[in-house]
Amino acid sequence: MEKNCMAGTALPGDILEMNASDLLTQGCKTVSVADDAEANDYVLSLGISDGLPIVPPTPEAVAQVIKAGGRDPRALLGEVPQRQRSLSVLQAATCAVMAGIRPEYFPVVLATWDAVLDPSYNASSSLSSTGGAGITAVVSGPYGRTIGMNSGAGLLGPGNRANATIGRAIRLGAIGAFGAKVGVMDASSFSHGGKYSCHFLEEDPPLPWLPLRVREGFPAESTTVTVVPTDGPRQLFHGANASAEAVLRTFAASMRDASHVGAGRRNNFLVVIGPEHAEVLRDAGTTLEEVIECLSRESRVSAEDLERAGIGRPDAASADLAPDADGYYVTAPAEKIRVVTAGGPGPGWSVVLPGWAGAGLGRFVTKPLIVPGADTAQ
Amino acid sequence: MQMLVPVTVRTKTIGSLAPRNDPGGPVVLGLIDNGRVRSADMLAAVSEVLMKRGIVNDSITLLKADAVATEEERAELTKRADLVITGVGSCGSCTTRTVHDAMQCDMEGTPATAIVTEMFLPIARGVMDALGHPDYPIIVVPHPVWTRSPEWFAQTAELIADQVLDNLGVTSRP
Repeated sequence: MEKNCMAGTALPGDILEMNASDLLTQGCKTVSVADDAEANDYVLSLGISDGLPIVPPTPEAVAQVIKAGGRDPRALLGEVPQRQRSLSVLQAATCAVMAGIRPEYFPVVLATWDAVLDPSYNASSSLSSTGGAGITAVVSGPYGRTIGMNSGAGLLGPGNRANATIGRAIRLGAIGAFGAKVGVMDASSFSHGGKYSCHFLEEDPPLPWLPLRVREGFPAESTTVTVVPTDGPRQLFHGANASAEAVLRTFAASMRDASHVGAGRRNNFLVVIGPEHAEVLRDAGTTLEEVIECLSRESRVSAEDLERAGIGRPDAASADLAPDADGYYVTAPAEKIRVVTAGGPGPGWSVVLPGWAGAGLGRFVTKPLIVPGADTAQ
Repeated sequence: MQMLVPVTVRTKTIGSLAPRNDPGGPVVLGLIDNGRVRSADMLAAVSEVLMKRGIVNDSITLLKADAVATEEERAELTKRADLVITGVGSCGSCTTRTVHDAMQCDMEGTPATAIVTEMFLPIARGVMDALGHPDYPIIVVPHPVWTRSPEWFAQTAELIADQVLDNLGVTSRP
């Protein structure tokens, strides 16, 4: 297979013209089943299911999805070199159909794979860890709205087909193409609900704050996908007063929870600010840079904090635990915090998603979305 | 009804493992420590036993706490080390790294073996399978290791020493 991520070009590999041998070369075998029930039983028997029913990926359905993505089905999206395994567009599309996506969601699936298969994401370790990291993704930009993604009430839970199935398409690909089966190459001790899907749309923030895609260096009219391996979301509440400083302290209190494996270990954090908290912070004239700087500073932990939590003082065996100039252990350096606005109205809810496992083990990666026929990234 | 099903696709041809030739004298041991709690203790204990037996005369440690060893790091280590032991695979991601690093050193020409705990044998086998050597010889120790005493590491090192030497092709036992 050849690496080819160009969009908008002709698709020389029409899978409906390929025979079973060609399809197998691209990473998919062809099987005959009597009906949906048998298709589901078969996928379960192979251990490549997430446990929920799948939509049978017929060649016709897969071809439709591939067309919507605009890439040659034979193109290689990337590989996990530590597993010596790769992913083709055909495999990604097959898993996406299994997950139940509409064809127009596929550009988001492809951009997500572009990000997850970037070496900085560290797919091999994060897919296999006992820490049970999920693949968390923020879609930022107009295409997310076009396909009906949810940035509002209940965005991290059930109810929206795009949010639910795009993330599921990625998880099924990780299982099917990279062998991330529970108990084998996925050693999650507990796992969490976000491993089924944790894809959501950023609500463009209140001015003058800039959306994530712009802060990541992309044009405002583009759409991007930002991924990071995380634990499950931790919902936090602050409705007691309207002080920006107090709101930020509540966020930091959640982040510096010493029981989390990332406490004091220079971890990633995705912070999702709910609408009331965003308004309080914006109205106080706080910039997003100030928010991030404050969260980084206030989420530091002391050796005493770690001792009180039973963790014990850091020692030489914990190579990633080193104090800063003030003697604190940094839970989240500013460059490892991403803040986005999303969520529904309430009396004062927000969410933090702690990154998985501390320093060096997986980073934020942002990739632009490419939609066939469009002049630029969408 | 016809349907498609994803299968795994290998990206590289399978490399051969290093030949096992008895070194015939004391060697330099390379240790790749995956940074997990007490991994260093287990590797040090094995190294100490092999030194006491006169098989190892020096050891070099590469600490890789967050990612697999790069090709350059492996080359630097194996330039000086005759044999390599990696460990301890006692979680998901660290087991993948530990087995991967041993197998890569081996496929690059230096006999190696990996120490993993029994609970993570399935994931170790997943890596062995993925890299094309499903029967790759590794060392399995009880799980967990992070709660153990210094005496336990010393005893376990004694117990596994012969298997370590077998895996590395060392047949002379002074």
